[in-house]
Order: sequence, then C-alpha cells, then structure tokens
Amino acid sequence: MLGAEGRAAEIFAARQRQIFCRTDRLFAILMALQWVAGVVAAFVISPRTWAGTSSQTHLHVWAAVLLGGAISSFPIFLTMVRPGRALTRHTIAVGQMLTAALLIHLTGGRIETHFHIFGSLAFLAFYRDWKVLVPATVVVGVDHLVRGIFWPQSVYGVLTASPWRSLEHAAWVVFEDVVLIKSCLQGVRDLWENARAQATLEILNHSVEQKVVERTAALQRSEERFRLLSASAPIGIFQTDASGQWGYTNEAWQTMSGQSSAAARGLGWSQVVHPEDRAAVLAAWQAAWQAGTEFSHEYRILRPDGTLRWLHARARASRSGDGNATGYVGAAEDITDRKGAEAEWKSAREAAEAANRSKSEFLANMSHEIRTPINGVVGMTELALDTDLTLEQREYLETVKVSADSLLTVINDILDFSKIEAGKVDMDHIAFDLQSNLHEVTRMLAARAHPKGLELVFHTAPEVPESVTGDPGRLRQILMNLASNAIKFTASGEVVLRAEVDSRSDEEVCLHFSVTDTGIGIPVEKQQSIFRPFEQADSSTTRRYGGTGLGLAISTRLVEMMGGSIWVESEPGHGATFHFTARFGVVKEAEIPRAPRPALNLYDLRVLIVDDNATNRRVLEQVVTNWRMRSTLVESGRAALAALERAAAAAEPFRLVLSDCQMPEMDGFELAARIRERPEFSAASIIMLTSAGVRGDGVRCRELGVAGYLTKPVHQSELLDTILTVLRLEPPDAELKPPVTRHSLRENTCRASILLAEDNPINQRVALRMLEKRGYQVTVAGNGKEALAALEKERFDLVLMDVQMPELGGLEAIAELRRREGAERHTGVIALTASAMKGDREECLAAGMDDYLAKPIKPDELYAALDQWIPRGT
Amino acid sequence: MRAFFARANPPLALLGILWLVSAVVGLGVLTDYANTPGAAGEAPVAWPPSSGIERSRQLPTLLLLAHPRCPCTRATIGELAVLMAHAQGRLAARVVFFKPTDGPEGWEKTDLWESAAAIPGVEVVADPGGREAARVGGLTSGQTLVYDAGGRLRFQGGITAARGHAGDNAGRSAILALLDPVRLHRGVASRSQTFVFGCALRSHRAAAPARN
Repeated sequence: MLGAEGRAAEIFAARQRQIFCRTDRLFAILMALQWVAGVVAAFVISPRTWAGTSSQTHLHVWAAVLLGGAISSFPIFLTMVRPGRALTRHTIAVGQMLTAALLIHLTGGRIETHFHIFGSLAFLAFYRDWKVLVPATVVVGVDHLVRGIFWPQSVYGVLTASPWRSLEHAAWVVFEDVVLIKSCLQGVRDLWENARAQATLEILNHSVEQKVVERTAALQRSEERFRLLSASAPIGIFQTDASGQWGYTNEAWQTMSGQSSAAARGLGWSQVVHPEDRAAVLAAWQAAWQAGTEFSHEYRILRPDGTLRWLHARARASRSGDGNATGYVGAAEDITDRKGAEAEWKSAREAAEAANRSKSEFLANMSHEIRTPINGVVGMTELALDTDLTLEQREYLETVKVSADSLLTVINDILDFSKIEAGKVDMDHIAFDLQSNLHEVTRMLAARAHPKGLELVFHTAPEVPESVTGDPGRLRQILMNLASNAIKFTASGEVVLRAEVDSRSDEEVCLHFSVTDTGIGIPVEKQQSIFRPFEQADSSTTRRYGGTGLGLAISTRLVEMMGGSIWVESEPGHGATFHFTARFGVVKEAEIPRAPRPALNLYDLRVLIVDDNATNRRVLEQVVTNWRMRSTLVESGRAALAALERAAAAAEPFRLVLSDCQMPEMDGFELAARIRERPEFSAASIIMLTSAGVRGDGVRCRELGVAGYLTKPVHQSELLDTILTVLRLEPPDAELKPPVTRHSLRENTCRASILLAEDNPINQRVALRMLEKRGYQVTVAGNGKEALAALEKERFDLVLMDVQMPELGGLEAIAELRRREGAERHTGVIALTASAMKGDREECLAAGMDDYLAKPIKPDELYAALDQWIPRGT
Repeated sequence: MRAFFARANPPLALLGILWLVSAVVGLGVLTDYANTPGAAGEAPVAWPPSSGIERSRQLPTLLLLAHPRCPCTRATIGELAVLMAHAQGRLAARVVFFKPTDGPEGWEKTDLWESAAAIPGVEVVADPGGREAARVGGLTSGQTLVYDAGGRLRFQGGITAARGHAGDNAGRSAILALLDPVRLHRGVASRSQTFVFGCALRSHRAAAPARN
C-alpha cells in the first residue's frame, strides 16, 4: 500500500488531469462558439462585397469560415483525441490568442477587443498550469510587436504607434500573467493540500474499515463462542430486551424448565414458577430491571410433568457505552440438590448446636462444681498456713495447697484450651493501664520466684505506652504462663521480663514481650513442638516438673488472636527466651488518666544503685535516668561505701541509696548499718529492695534507719511514690519512723466496709478470712435478697457478689440494686463466679457489675481488685 | 524538452505545423486584402458645371461617393462624422449614394444612408445610374473630393487607412489641414491625394471591378 504522500501524489495527478480535461472541453466549446460567432458576425456585418449593382460573398465571410475554422479546429481536434495533454492545452492557448489577434485585426484595432486577450488568459488560468500562459503571452507579444511596427492601425487603430505602446500592452499582459501565475501556483498548492487531506482520510477510512472488519470478525467469533458456551452450558441462560421481556433462552433452560423457548418469551417464563413463589419472583424481577440492579432470586418451578425443582436465577444488566441498560443477561441454576443438602445441613446444625449447648452447660456446671470445692480447699489451706503450725502440719498443708493449685491449673488449662479450640473465646477491647497490668503480673510471679532464690527482673522500655486498648486478662495470662514456666524450669539465676515497642502507627501499637530465664533450656528439635498441645520438651519433663503441656498451646492461640506471633530462642543448659508480639489499640492522649506529676523535683538528684545483679542495675539505672536523676552503679556493699566516700569528699553527697537486700559478702542491711555509722553519709536516704520479704525485716529496717523497703520486682510508679515519700522525710529522725512499704502506701488509703454476698458457707469463710486479714469490715449475705436488704440498711464501699445464688442470683440482685440507685449513687460491685464459660464476664458487666473475679479466689487477685475499686481515703 | 519531442507524435506535429502555417497565411491574406486600395479615378480640377449637386459658395464643399451596401464604407461614414465634428461648420458635405437606374425604390436607403444623413452639415443625395460619380471620375465607394469655395479641387482620395478600418488616416488629416483659415485665406492651391478603400461603384461589366 502506498504511503500518505504517494497516495496524495496519485490523487493530485488524477485531479490535475480532471482539471486539464475539463478545461480542454471548456475551451473546445468556447472556440467552437467563437468560430460560429465569427461566421455569424461576418454574415451580419459584411455578408457581401459590391461592384455597382452586382455583388459576391465578402472575403470576411470566407475568412470567418475558413480561417476561423482553421484556427479552432486543431485545438478542438486535440481536445477530442488528446484530452488533458500538455500539447492540447498549449495548442489551445496559441489558438485562442490567434483568435484574439484575428478579432483585433477585424475590428481595426478597437481597444475593446483587446479584452478578449485578458479574458482568454484568465480562462487559461483554469488549467492551474502557469506554463500554458507562456505560449499565449508569446503569441500576443509577437502579434502586437509585428503589427505595431508594420501596421499599427490594425492593432491600435492609429496610423503610427510608439514602441512604448507595444511595451505598455505587453506590460499589462505580463501583469495579468503574474497574477494568474500566482493564482495557478496557489491553485496547485490547494490541490496538493486537498490531495493530502483526502489521502489521509482514505488511509484513515481504510484503517477504520479494517478495524470494522476485524471487530466484526471478533464479534462473530464472540457470538459463536457465546452460542457454543450457551448451548453446552449446564445452566439455563436467558437474555432480555431493555424492558425486561425475555427473548433468548438456551437449551439447558428448556431442559431444566420443560418449557420451550417460544413459551418463555416475554414473561412466559413465569408460568413455570411455582404459583406460591410467582408473585414474589415477578415483583423482584420487575424491581430489578426497573432500577437497573442485579436480580438474584431462589424460587421453585413446577415443570409441566409435575416435578418440582428449585432454581437460583441471577441476571445483570448489559449496558451500552452511555451506561443505559440495553437488556439483561442471566443464568438459572438448578439448586434442587443443594436445597436438599441445605435442609439436611440445617437439621444437622440444629442438632449439633443443641449438643453443643448441652456440652457448654455441662462445662459450665463442671467448672462450677469443681472450682467451688477447690476454692474451699485452696482458701482454707492458705488461711491455715498463716496460723501457728507444727512443722509436720505445715508440710502437710503446703502439700495440700500445691496439689490443689496443680489440680486447679490442670482444670483451668483444659477448660481454657477447650474453649479456645471451640472458638468460644472473644478478645476484649477495653482501655487498660498496661503498666499496672504488667506490674500485677510480676507481683504475682514474685511469690513463686523468690522462694527459689531467683532474681525476677522486669523492664519496660520508656516508649511503651502507659495505656492501651486490648484484653488485659489474656495478656496477663500469656505472661503468667511464660514466666511461670521460666520460674519452673530455672533452678538458679534470674528471670527477666521485657516489654518493648515493636512497631507503632497512629491507631495501633505492636508490643514485643520477652521472658528470659537461666534455666535448663530447650533442645532445638523441640523448639517447634512445644507450642503444640500436650507436648513438652521431654516426656521426663512432665514427670519432673508436672504440667499439662497446654500452657504454651493456649498462649500460642491467644497470641495469634492478638495479631502477633510467638517463638523461642534457646540453647540447652543456657536458658531460654520466649518472645511474643501482640497488637493493641492506641489510647488517645485525652483518654489516658494522667498521674499527678512529682511534686518534688528529682532533676540531677544523685542516687547510688547497689545490686550484685547486673540486669537489676541496668533496669534501675534506666528508670531513674528517665526521671532525670544522676545515678552511680555499684555491684557490692563495699563498692557502695567507696562511692559514698568519694561523693562526700567531692562535696556531692548522694541523696538516695537504692540497695539490693541479698548480696554476697555484705548484704543490704549491713550496708545500711555501715552508712548510718558514718555521719558524712547522713544526707543519703536508703531504700531497700528485697527479693523475698522475711518476717522481722521491717523491725530491722526501722532500727537501721532504712527509709523504704520494697519487694522486687518493683513497679516504676511504686518506686517513684516511695522515693517522693522518702525524700520528704527528715533524715536525722529516720530511724524513729517506720519504713515506707508497699503495705504502708496502700494502708494509707483504705479501711473500708465490704458486703460479701455468697451462698456457699466454705467460700463465705474463705473470703471472709481474706478480707478480715486486710482489716476490712465485712458483712455477709447468703443470697441476693439478703444482700439487697443489707444495702438498703447500710452503705458499703464495695460489694463482692456471687453470681450463682439461691432465691435471688447475683445478676438479678445487681439489676435491682442499679435500679434503686438510679443516677445518684453507684456502689462498686465485683462479681464472683465459679463458672469460667464464654461470655460470663460480658454478662456480668452488662448486668451492672463493675468487675469480675473467677473462683477460686486468689488473695492477690482479690486484693488487687479491692485496691482498684475501693475509693482512696476511705 | 527532449522528452517532449520523444513523446511527440509525428503526424500530430505535422498537423500542428500545418495549422500554424495556415493561420499565419490566413492572417496574411486578410492583411493584404485590408491594405489593397480600390481603383483610383481622376477628378476634374474644377467643380463640374453640369453637376446637379449644389456647391457651397461660401465654404469648401466635400463630396463623398458611396455605395449604400458596401460594408467597408461604414468605416468611411464613421470617419466623415469625425471629420465634420472637427470642421465645426467650416465644411459643407454632400454624400452621394449610388443607385442603380432600374433599381427598386429605396434601394439606396440603407443603414449607411441613415448614418450619413444623421451627421450634422451633411447632405445626402441619391445618384441614379452613378451619373454624378461619373462626372467627377468616381470609381470606388469612399472616394472623397473637396472643392474650395471657388470650385477648385483641393483633395481627392479615401478617408480610411485601410479597408473597413476606422481611425486615424491621412485623408482626414489632409482635409482638416485644408480647413486651416490661414491656408484658405492664402489660397494655397496644393492638392492632396490618398488611397480609397471600398467597393466598386460600377459593375464589373461596366468597368474594371474594384476589389473590396
């Protein structure tokens, strides 16, 4: 195929030839007319020449006929035999100018006849070929020149003519030639432009036609494909027009419905719809196509043979380019089998749900029935252990307690795991104080770690937020599990808990927790399997350390539910580090209750940290550095004394000494005694940090002038409170005042009255003893009714209410209490329940309880809840 | 150019040449015809006393002999009109139209007659049998004679430069020169003569025909 320029040249040539031929024809006609006109004029003007009375045909007549004919005939002949040729148009140009010369001559040089020349030249310009003007101009020039010289009258009508006159005539002709040449060139350019435009258009048209052909072929292929697909599809396919009337239906539809294609047309298809479903189906269909939305409906059809089938018909609007619906294309699927299966499945599900409900009720009952007596066993054992016992009695009771705890752990693990596996565990999303939560964990662990002489270190990175949104109970459970394992498998050394920020966004924070121990470690080949249920590192482990092997499996599931992952790094004999990450919601600044700022400025305050455990030293250093204190770390009592001496000598005495209690060579008490012996160290207040509280320590502290005494692990806020309290004390009188302890900090705030609503006499006694041990004034009610009566008579700072009680249960009682209180009062109520089933907590909180404790009640958990809910200063 | 000749068709080229030659020859014949004068007659030097045409005693009298149907004389009548306009009443003119003796009534009354009669100061007369023309030796239509007020011949010849060609011509110039008052007053007796272009006033049978 030619390119655009080549095609343009073709078009140009064809057009030019058309113009040449057309102009040739015009000139042929003109010349013929001129010839005829000449003959007519000769006959009219000078028909005859006379001699007296005789006459003959005038020579002009013969000249008009013969000469005029001679001049005109050859160009006309060429027009007929050689149209469009250069020879033809050049001959025409010469002939036309000879005609002009003849005309001028015959009129005696009348100036008006010269216009014939100008008219003829303009006419020649029709050719759009400037070259044709050349011979015409030459003929005119030669004629004027020759006749102007030899016979001027025949061309100018005067006897004599100046050569300038011939020049002037020539100049006018040239003038016209210039104009005409320009016109011709412009005409050619226009012709070229048109040719190019047409060539472009033709190519475009060709391209469009090609595309049309291709698209048509593609459309045909597509239609063929649709036809084949439609014909071989196992589902019914139908097509409608824009008004929703059915047109096409495939063979499968006809087989499925037993209705012919013709019968289905329009709304005929609805005739096979089951009479009970017909109105609904038609309404849905009309609503869909009127709104242009998708149609999806399941309905029954009644085939002509009387059989009933279920169909699921779906249809979508097909749209034109401008978005208007042009019709619907739909498919109808025979779902009779599925419907049957669904009915069976529904029946099976209902049966399964009924069975599950029975199982859940059984679990709840089992949980209640097992925990209630264990609660009594554990609680009474703990109370008995606090009494004066013989060694043998204590040994027996401690065995009882360990056995009960183990049994409880096993039951808890099994129940918990079964709940998790059954998907019955939902994660809470409540805002909670993360730091307090972590502190609570370490405090509970301390009781297990310290009897083994283990250092329990807890370190929170500064960037870990104070509060987050999540499930505090489950986080505590994971940490307790990992740390309990760490303590269990570590004979000596330390257990370190760390919390860091793994990643953070505006909405979410991913925390990274780790529990490191110096225990027996885990073989590499077992590091994966220990996270699976009922697996431990070694079968002998169970025998030696006990446990169900479910703790890590439960933790793994819980971590996954918290959007994190869990893994272990370990080398046998060198301890292990369990890591896990968990995602929590970020609590907005405004939602975080701000702790009061320290009233005392701790900036640049010098503090001496004395601890033989490097991890503890680092943690304490970081904590006090965060408070902008200036710390010095030493690893022994002797080094501490040396540091105190240097500081005193430099007139920069330490204001505070944070000392570990249990250290080799010189323990914390000895160090305190040495410090108090030296008057130059009197500026330093001493806070003792002990891993295990021993009876009599308080007396020793008071004697040695130790200002504070805290059990490790120490929570940051607790340490800060202690430091602030201690530094306000007058150092010289320190030995006369009791040391600041965790208990003194708490006891400054509570002596409250508590209503205990509990129907089980054993549990009543356990709870009563625990509460009285802390000095609370306790009133006991046997059921909800009694509790409400007591609340009617007296105001209590807190109510501990069992959920399952005869006559009036806890949930009903709290509902009634809240109704009576209205908006004016709010008595804190903590639910106590032996059930540990899914939804208990939510149910209690929804009923109006403020918190929830699961039985058996552990003293630490109970006290923590009491501290939280009993108003300070009561 | 070589390509042009290479493509040239010999018979066609020959035809073209013939065409050009015939056109040029035809134009040449026409030119020759236009410039060939008619037979020149010899006029009497004095106004013939036997003439039936009245001569002016105060002004020079112009006598134009014309064939009423001669196409070439149309240019002569046109020149007469120009001449009379230039003369401004100093010239009396008589146009004598040939009329056959046995010719039908009004044979001489052609458009030429009307044109001549319409010229101010021109008197048109018929010349049955061409007798008046014969008295003054007239042979060719368009022959013009000018006699002064004393009846002496001052000019004879044509007042067109060629056959049927209007425009400047020697005859008209000579007559206008005669009308110069000084020249007339001095009674200069010079005479002018020019070629006459027109039809023959007599039949070929009566005289040698004039070419027209």
